[in-house]
Amino acid sequence: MIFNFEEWFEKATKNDTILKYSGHISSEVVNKTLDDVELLLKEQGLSKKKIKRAYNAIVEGVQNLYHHSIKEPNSQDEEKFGAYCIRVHNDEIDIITGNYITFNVVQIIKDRIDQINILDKDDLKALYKKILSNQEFSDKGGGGLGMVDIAKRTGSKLQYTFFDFDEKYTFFELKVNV
Amino acid sequence: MEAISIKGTAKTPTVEFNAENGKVEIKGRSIPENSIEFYKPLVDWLDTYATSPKEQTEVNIQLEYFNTSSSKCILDVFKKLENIHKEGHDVKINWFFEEDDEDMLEAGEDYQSIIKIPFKMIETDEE
Repeated sequence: MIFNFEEWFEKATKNDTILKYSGHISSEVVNKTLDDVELLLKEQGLSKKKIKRAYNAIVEGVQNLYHHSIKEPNSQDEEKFGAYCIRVHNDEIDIITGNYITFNVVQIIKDRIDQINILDKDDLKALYKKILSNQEFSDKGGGGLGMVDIAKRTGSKLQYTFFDFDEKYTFFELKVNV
Repeated sequence: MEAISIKGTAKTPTVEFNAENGKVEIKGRSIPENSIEFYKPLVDWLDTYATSPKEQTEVNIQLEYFNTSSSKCILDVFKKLENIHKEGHDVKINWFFEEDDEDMLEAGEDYQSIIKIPFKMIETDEE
């Protein structure tokens, strides 16, 4: 079945959604998101620790979109395109991000997340410090540290799904539970 | 040398670097998309300061949030301070964390294990 963004977004945002967005991922969008989400999280009656952890994960998730999202395939629009959704249910927060990627990076992302997901807390801490102190950062600040940080802080597995779009592009969904 | 004094924003910290009294302070939030841009002048300032530092440099880091993009830049700041310490000058690092914010305490401990300067972990009351 061919991936349909609108259907994906509708399904992702169906229940318990406190904030959602799809469209251009600009610096302004990132700023507005981080302002809005902090206020919304505070209204949910969650513990301060949980809000902090969720906020940190949202910062990394939304900034990942800012750095790595690409334009919508087959669109005239040249701006970076992405989507996210924050859901709160029974004191748990789901952070879902989605963006198109080129098919050739699917395996790289998959391997990286699989590598992170098998690590326990101590291993994640060791990997975090290793990347922090050894690896050269790209201009984007990447180095995979963002995803390691999310896993380390939240203590939950990173859930990914890749949806085939066409022979060149794939849609990447990343879900984190706090 | 001229002091650095930057007012904090929703995404960038308050910065006070003062060569006259040897105080280096970063406080607030550090979550910009492009941290290198923000931190480069700070790292450059420390390079210059390292040529004739005060007998004692007091460093106060009090962050509420920082993103991974900032984490490397903060390490760069600590590495400059480590060099000053290595040259035989006294450098004291105070790492502040809010009560119950074990993640921020852990972040300080991570830096402490990489940087060869003693850290003092200081718990502050919640706002």
